[in-house]
Amino acid sequence: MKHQITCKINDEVTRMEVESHRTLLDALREDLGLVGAKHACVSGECGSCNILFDGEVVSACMILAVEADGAEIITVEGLAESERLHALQKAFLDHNALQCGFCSSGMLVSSYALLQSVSRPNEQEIRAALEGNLCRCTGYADIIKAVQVASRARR
Amino acid sequence: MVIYIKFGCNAIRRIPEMNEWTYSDFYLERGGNLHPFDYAKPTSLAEARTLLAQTAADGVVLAGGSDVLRRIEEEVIRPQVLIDIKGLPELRGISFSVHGGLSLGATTTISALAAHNDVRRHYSLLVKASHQLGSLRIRNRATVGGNICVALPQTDLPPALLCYDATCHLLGPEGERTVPLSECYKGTRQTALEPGELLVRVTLPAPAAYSYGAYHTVRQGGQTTVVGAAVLARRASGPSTEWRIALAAAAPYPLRAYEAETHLASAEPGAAMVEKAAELAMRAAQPADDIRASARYRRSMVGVLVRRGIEEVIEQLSGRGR
Amino acid sequence: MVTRKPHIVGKPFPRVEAELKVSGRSRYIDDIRFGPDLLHACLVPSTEAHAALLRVDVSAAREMPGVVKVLTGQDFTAWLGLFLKDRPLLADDRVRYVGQPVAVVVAESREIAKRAASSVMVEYKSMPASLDVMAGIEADAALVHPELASYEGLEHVTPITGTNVGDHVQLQWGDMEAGWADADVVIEHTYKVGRLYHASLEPHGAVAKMEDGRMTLWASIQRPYTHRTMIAQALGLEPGQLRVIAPCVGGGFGGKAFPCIEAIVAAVARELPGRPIKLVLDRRQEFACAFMRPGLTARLKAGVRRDGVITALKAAYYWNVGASVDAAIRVVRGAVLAGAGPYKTPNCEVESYAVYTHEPPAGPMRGNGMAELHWAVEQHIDRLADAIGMDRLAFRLQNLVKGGDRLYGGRVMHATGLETCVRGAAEAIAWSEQSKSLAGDGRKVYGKGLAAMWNPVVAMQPLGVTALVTLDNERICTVSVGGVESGQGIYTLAVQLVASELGVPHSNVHFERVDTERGSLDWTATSGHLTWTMGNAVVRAAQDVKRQVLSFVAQAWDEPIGNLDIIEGVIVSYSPTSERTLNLTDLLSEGIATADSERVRPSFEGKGFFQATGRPALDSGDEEPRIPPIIHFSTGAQAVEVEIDVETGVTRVLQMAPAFDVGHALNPDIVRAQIKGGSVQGLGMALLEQIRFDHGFPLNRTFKDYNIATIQDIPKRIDPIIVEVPQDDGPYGARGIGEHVLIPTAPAIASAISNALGIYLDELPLTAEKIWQALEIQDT
Repeated sequence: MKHQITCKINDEVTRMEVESHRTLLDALREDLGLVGAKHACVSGECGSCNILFDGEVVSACMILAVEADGAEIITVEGLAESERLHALQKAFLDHNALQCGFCSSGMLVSSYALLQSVSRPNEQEIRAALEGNLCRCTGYADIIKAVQVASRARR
Repeated sequence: MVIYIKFGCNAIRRIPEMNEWTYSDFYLERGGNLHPFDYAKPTSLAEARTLLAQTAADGVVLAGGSDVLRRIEEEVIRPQVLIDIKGLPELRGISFSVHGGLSLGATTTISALAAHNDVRRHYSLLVKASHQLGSLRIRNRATVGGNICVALPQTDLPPALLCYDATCHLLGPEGERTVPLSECYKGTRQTALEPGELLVRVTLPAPAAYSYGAYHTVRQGGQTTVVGAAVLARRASGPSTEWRIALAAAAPYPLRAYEAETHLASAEPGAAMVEKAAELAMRAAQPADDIRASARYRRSMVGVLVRRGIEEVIEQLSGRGR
Repeated sequence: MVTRKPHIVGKPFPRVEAELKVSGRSRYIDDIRFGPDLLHACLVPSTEAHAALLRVDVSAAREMPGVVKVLTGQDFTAWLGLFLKDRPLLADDRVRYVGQPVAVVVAESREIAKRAASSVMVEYKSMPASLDVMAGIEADAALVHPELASYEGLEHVTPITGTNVGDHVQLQWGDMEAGWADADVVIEHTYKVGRLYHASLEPHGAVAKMEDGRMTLWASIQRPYTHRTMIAQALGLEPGQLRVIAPCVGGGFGGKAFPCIEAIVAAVARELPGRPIKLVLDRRQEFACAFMRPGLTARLKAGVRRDGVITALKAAYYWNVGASVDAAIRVVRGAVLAGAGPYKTPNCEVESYAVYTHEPPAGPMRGNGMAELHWAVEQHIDRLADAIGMDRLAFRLQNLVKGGDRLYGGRVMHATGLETCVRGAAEAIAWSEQSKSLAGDGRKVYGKGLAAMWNPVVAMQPLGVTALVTLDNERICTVSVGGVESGQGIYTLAVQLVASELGVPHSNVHFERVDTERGSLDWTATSGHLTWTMGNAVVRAAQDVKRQVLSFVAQAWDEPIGNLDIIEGVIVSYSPTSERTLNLTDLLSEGIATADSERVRPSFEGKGFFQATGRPALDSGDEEPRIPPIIHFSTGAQAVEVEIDVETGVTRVLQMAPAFDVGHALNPDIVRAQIKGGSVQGLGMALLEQIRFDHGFPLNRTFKDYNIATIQDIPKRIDPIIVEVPQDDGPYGARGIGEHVLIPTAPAIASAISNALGIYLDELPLTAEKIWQALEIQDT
């Protein structure tokens, strides 16, 4: 069954025709070419496909595309303002908060959501916000640091 | 521990913890491809009821999707249609009154629950349990109703709800009926819900004049609760204290430890009382062996966590004086 | 006047590919579009650990609309192997492990491919499986490879035919009898390490396309040249017919060092010329059919004198390599070269056996066997120290190998920062101060632990490594190497080295992803080789291209080349008379008028080649040519403090102080990042990660039941200590780091736990339940 859906993705109103059983992740990646969110576990366990859905962090692999009708979505591609990197992206880059980069999109989106709700998070709050994002390379410490730096840079 | 039946290229395995059969592990191509199904999003209870009745066993209710979509993806279930209940106003929202208590719409997300001011003030044990449930991205989708209806042993919210004597409001073809949460569970993945019935909301009685709850868990790797114990004490007026103890991942489904509760209410306060209650809780537990822990370890941890919970609660109580 | 800017080597420098990654613009294999012609492959894997294939019925799949091709092991025979061809592409007449590909289906869509694969009927006749290493070496064990003797392989690989031993090697020095006689205490013990997933966040994926008799393979892999050689060999192609391109790679850790599904995708692409074929795994499949780290059973026996001298050590390492040893040959062989640990052992006997089992094939994992081996050695060192009542740190310091010490075979240890690392790590956790253990409230106890490590870096192939540096008007300067950026930062390193050697601003230097058509040969790309081998090749390529530029300009200006240099992108003449300057970019865009001809616009290509020339592991005489030369030993240490909840067994690491001798930290930020990342991976390995099998069937399916460390598991403090004792033949004295950082962490954590509880735990991982169980036994 096909559905017409309309949602706002990275500030752009987008209309799509999607099958009932299509995941939002597949729709973003394959229909819209927004490949920043990654397929890493497809069962909602790793956070690599995290996006902002009506302002909240969710895993796009565990949502149907049709459920996004009327939703406002931000992906990692939408964090930068025009060509300028977001403070978080800059801090991730400057502080080695990424290595292979496969988890980075999800990490950044989760961190972005955190900074939306807590402007100067402490270490515990950062840990709590990122506990659902797995990373096999960095050991997380530099990610914590990058989020802290970014939170200070924004003010 | 696990039974296999083989045919063709598929291995069917029974995972006791989930009480279900899974056979999809071995199609070696990237998943994320859900088998085709239809999707319906009713906007009224009447419409939802009709849909549920029409689709019967082929229809599956979709709320947060954290469990359902995963099971579809793993081909544990193959529904013909998903009925998205997030469009039903009756299933939404949190309401509270000092005398009437708390009402939680079934599609209330765990995040919304944990952020609600009245919940934080009067039912803080729910908040503590919520924080242990998955990670933020799960809590932002997962719902109160879903966490109950999956009827899995390791769910974190139900023990806290059990402590508050929660009641489930079920709506079926014959109308609405209520079932205490403690009677809702029939086994792993089995609830008192009849076919065509929908969990509409969960209600909690008015808060006690004073109550304090503790939720202790053993977890490793920051993911799933290996064992959890919720302990709650409440006082109306006067010195008598009412106790509630409920367990996660210690039985086929979330479980009240009644005998431990009774003991706490009647025994002479002191270390012996706490030990005995912990022991009674251990006896009540019927934990499983699975990939995360052995039954023996789980049972023993029930004792440790219940004792710690009681101790924490008693410390709080005594801190407040009489 | 142009002045020389400070060196950018040895300084923090942001990763060159990071901007693409943070903006979601880097392209991994699954992100690349291959157009409407793309076909999708799906594997049909074995569900049996050991069974004869009575029938593989693919008729239903073949008839399904949209199915383009179905292949089974009956359709073609191809075996994979770099050292020993012991891995059939598709199961031949039997399956040897659960997850082994039996058939592959290719269809117009993923859905059809998946449906068709599920329609394939396989009839198995179960056979007894060999699932235990120690039982597997017995004479009556079920054989994984009964025809082992007929397998094609390199001469130095020595299987024992008629057994499950796929390779073995021994090394002995000193006088064992005298060593035992001299000992006051002899301790014998067995240690075990289970199998692990590499668990890179990006699963395996490949796309292959055959066109005009040539094939292109895009794949998430670590070593394109190894893949090219092995896959071409298996499919009967000339290496030149196969072009391998590695896009951005989302982590490897050794799991992508040897081909697995890539070879199957290539095999079907050969059958379907003109159309690209794609196979990207998801997590469950990744866990089911990619490589696993080998398991290890280590039997150690050591003698020690009361004064702290180790008199003799006998070590036997039995590696569980699953159904294939090929990818683990270097693990098995390296074990004898480091088998005694980084300690002075005058009398020593080390054996290492690769034992086949009916489990998934072993692939090397970060540390290349050394993480497993040090799990045993370092704990044994703790036991020895405890037995003679000596402080564990003091015992180590007394016995550590130092520069100038004689090793086996007459080899002399090179200068090393090992002792500095051990002291530094110990100091960072205040080793001499009592842990809080005595002050614990009875529920929580605290302990401190330490482990040292060494890793013999051996010269791999006699092929060497090349690098290219090109200068042209379009991109100014491009460096291309044969190693893949999989997160370790090698492109950044290459850019830094080129900018520094050539004398141009780093913003002028670009990197190129690996393409075997264009790039530079590199066989190594793993095992901590890259900094060393690729680094040297890059330095030489940059020097070469610089020479070309200067000689070109010298000719035009009619000046001796010795007068010229390039500084910050400007060609300058130091000639007292001329003082001429020319921007390199101007040279490339506008050319230069030469004395006797018109203006030409030049482009340059510099090549660099590096071939390690190390001393053999053993000096001539009793030399065993089977052991490749060791070039050097990388060394380091890890120190940790842990907190244990004695009622639940839950252990938290409070602090980590990893210290490594990196020769020269070419990019200190990246070095520290590697150290932290490796330490946390080691933490996961120590406390959390475990694959459980049920009759050869791996039960862990997803990250839900295979727990890698999360952000909540890491300690509050991880303070890397960089020690720099330059390596003779390293670029700027540098040596690798990525591989080594995983090695000492798990034994350090075990050491801290035994320090806190007085309990030795011999088998990884140290789960809460295992610790609880040990405490329970201790109580009774």
